[in-house]
Amino acid sequence: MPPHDADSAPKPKPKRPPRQLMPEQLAAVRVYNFAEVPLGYDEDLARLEASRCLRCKKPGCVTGCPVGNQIPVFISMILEGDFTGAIAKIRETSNLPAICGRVCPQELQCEGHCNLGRAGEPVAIGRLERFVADMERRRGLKVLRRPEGSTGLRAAVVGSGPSGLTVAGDLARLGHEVTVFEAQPAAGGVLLYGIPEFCLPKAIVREEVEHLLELGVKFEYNVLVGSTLTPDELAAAFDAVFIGTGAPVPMLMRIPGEEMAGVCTANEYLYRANLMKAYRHPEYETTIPLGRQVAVIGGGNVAVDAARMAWRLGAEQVTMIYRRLEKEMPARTEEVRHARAEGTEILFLTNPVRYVGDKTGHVRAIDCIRIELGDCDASGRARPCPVPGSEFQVPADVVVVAIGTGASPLVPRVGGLETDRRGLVVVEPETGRTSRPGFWAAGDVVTGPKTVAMAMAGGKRGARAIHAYLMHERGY
Amino acid sequence: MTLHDPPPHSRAAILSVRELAAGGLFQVDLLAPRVAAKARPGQFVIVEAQAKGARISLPIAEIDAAEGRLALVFRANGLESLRELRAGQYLEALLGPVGRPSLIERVGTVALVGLGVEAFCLVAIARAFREAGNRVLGLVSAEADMLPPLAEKMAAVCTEARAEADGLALIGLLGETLRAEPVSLALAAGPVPLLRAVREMCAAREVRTRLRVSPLMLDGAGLCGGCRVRVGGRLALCCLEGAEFDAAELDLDYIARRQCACHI
Repeated sequence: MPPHDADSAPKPKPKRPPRQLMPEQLAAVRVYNFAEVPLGYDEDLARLEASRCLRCKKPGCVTGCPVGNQIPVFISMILEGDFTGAIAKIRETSNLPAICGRVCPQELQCEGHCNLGRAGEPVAIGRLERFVADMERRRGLKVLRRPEGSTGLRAAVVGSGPSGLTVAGDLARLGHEVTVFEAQPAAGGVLLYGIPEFCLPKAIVREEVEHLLELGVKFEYNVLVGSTLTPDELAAAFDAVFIGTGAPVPMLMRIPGEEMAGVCTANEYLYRANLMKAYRHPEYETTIPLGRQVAVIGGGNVAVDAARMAWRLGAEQVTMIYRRLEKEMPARTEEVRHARAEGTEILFLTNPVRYVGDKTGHVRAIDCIRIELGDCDASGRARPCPVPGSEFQVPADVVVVAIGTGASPLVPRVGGLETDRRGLVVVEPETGRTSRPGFWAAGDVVTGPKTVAMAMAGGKRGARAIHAYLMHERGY
Repeated sequence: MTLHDPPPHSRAAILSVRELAAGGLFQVDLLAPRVAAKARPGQFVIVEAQAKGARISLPIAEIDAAEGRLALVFRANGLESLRELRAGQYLEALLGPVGRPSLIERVGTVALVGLGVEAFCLVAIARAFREAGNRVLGLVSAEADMLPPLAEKMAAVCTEARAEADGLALIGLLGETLRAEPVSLALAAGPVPLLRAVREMCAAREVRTRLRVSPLMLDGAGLCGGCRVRVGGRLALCCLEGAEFDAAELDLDYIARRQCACHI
């Protein structure tokens, strides 16, 4: 073949494979079990997906990632089959890759900034992150090492959710002695009590905690800081204290009938199911309101989790009631898709007005009203306005209220930390330093309910600041 | 014991289990130094008795901070995990103290009114009021089997303790007491009808009144919202702000409707 032919012919554009679909459990099957729904990429799928990455000079994905994961670098390592290198690269910036790969709203973070996504579909970064993190677990690749010596400096971490685990890991890797105080009998915070098994298997959370144990972190359970131990006692016994107590206190709508039997908060519903394993009653003693027609109020991730949990608890009909439109739902797109595939109906532009009960005081229906979107409010979203005369009834024998949560007041109140109007701890944004010397805070207790990755990012900033403080001001 | 010791204190040891009355009324004495050191009369603990057992809230009946001991009095009802507790075991989990302590003031004469199993938390409260220099009148009632141990415990700590056979007689006794001497403060613990009757009777005589409620708490840290009550027109969580409220502000209808909502 004459060599010049190849040069003269127009070079065919390399054909990019489409975004690889995630293998999942079928909807008709998964509503009868609690196993994880997405099954994860295998090696072939992962490499095919990795081959789609443009390796941009200015990668948008990295700026979109709250912790700044070096995404194009680890993706090219996947392509080369260097999975150990890939997980080590992620662990330079992220403490919880197996968790973030599963529960981050990637469409708003990394994938939302992917340059490939401008014209077509972005690289499935979350699925690739999950793939290498799962590979790390499955193959027992250990990239974290316990530090050689100890600084002898002590840090207390209050709360073992995403921000607390991050701070504990980072400080332990820097050689500090870390003790985590947790009010529940197991570590993980919202990762345990809030996010269901079928979205995030608890074994993964346990393994992340085991990583920390290997790094020398101590855990003390069943300690309610602010009561069992006071912030003053922690301040006296430790060189630095980190507050990562999250935003666990549920909000309610304060509409008539909210006290009825069958109306519960999403936190209660999910806590009973996730942590207390009420779905295995009577083997487990905890019970849970079981309904044929379950209604969930709200449009966030927690609402979607509750709706999907209801199917698995045997509901015949699950309805979500949300006051805005689908594009404004704060829930992850993928979870909304999962919920719909499982049969969940979503009533948009609808708000509950009151709950209607039977003679025994058990909820039977919800009086709802249609909503019209008005001008934009402070959050930049259209303000929901009820349409007069548009009332209608939705039958429901279990109602789960998932309209948001607020910060726990206990530690700031007892510890004298400055809080804002919403009860969130006021911190210096770059360092997480609170108004009380020796105390730092990050995660939902500072920001209000946000994502796991954002809590982790806050934790990383906090850990850096605590380390600097310990090394310089505590005279190491 | 310092905070840096390995945590044997994260689990509570069961020192003794006594069945106070037939029908599953138990007193469990616990060795839980950390919790006992902080516990004040009127507070709660969250208990998981066994690995697969329910997680429930129980009012603290007696506190011995020096010895690191707590006593809980409860009815096991349908809960096998509580019925099967034995001395020498550890509780799966004990969290506390939870809720705000009872407000102990020196006011003169205090009437403590209690009906049923909820009345046992008045024992620690009575002792504290007495130690604060008050004349403490204990007025209690309970079912036949439960009454002798309750009356005996109250008699040991109150200036004067009286027991009645049923709730109606108990209200009568309260009326009689209010007529007979100047009571500065009344504090009631028991089911909603009792709280309602105490509130009405004390309001008529302008006696300052506080009511204790015992809603079911699940996590104990403000998470589940199960212990919500309406007080002064707003919602409050008993695990963070309760479970003792000013009688005039507490919405008892709300609590009555909540009680049928409680799951174990």
